Amino acid sequence: MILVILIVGAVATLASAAGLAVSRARRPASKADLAAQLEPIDVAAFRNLIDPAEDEYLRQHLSAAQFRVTQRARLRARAAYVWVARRNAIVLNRMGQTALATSRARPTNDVRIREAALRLVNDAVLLQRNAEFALLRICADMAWPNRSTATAGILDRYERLSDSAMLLGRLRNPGVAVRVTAG
Amino acid sequence: MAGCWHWGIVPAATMFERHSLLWHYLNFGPCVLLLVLAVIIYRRSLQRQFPVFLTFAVVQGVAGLALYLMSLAYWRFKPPLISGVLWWQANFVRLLIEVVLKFALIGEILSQVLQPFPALSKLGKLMVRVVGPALVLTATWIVALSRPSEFAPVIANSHRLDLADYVIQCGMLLCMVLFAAYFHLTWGRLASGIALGLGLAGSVQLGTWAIWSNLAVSFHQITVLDFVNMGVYLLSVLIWIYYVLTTKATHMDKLGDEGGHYDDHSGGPDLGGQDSGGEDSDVEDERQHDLGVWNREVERLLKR
Repeated sequence: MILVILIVGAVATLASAAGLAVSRARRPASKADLAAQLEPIDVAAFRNLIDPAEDEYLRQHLSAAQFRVTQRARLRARAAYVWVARRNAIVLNRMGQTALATSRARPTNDVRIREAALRLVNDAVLLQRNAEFALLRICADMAWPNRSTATAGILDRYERLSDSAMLLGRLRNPGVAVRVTAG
Repeated sequence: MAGCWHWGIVPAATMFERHSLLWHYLNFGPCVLLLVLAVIIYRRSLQRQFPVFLTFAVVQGVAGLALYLMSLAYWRFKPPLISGVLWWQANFVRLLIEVVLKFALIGEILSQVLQPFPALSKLGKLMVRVVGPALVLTATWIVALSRPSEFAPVIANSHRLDLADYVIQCGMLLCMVLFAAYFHLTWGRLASGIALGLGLAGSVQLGTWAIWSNLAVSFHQITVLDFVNMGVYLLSVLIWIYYVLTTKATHMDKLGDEGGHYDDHSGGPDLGGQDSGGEDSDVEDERQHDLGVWNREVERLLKR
């Protein structure tokens, strides 16, 4: 038993080390490829979906059973938005890291681009982490739709991430701005 | 003549015996290469980013050479200049130092990977605080359950420490790689090279130690496993040399270095330095731009 655990651990470590080398050897995705992976979010619709006043209005005007059904549908939509925000955060993190690496390799080494890229990657990893916690909370809310979880923090952070992405995009390339919000 | 087909110029069996030419090369070679590695690190000014790696290379090289010379003093002289027990005691001390240095090195790699991400540094430290003690307990459990050693206590203790060392080393590396992969963090070139060498050596040695400490293996099989370990260690040192030679020393990136302060709302402090991330990234699509225009754009955005 111990032998099997140790051999599995050794193989997993070897595979992860090999994976590390392979992932570094692969050419990073281009800016265009990464930008194509972004899916703009309708911020106004998302804001409406997470508005506690809307929840309260529905609670007052619907029967308890109807409210639970409606709230579950709203939670599913909310989860879909958070999921897209998380995916966009991952893409923007990769864009920021590419910009960071490029700014290091350049002889001019533009400080503002580096600062903007650092801010973007940090905002992106924070949003990714928070979005995962929010998804867990939404899953819990699906079981008890009467309680309401605040997901407004995700939207605020997403808007901040969007600003960071726009700032970096404008600094790097004035013609093409990164757009992660719609509406 | 027919025998040449089976034996070649040097009989294959003698190559995998203690004190063969190959044995001397695999013992002596990595130590010298580690010292060469230390010189290269110093000459390329990479010690500013990886001070523990430089210390690791120097200490491992010197300790390995000292042990090699001690083994020569034991085997080549009649009567031996040193006792076998003294060699094993010295080896045990080297192992203790190696364990400390390896964990410091893994910490250094983690701090390099997380350095551009103050937002994740708190989570990274939490991971080390949780996973570290868990791995120590796991290693203790595995060592306690392994087959009782038929060797003298000083030798058996060295073997146990080696096994525990590789369990913790592989566990920490695995967690670190998974953590970085989960958050899609880019590894610096040298950081990934060091982790690759550590992972390769650690995993193969963990595998051989698992076989050694849990199965009844003959003396000849132990010797062959020893050769596998030594060969893989040599390969790891060569990997480190390759990565050190192909990495440029660069400035350190830290969010807020230019007078600003990054507020991640989680209170995560900064960690260590940063090695060159991805010099191989797409530089070609960068455009020259007018700084005055960008300044205005930045101000406009910041005022929003």
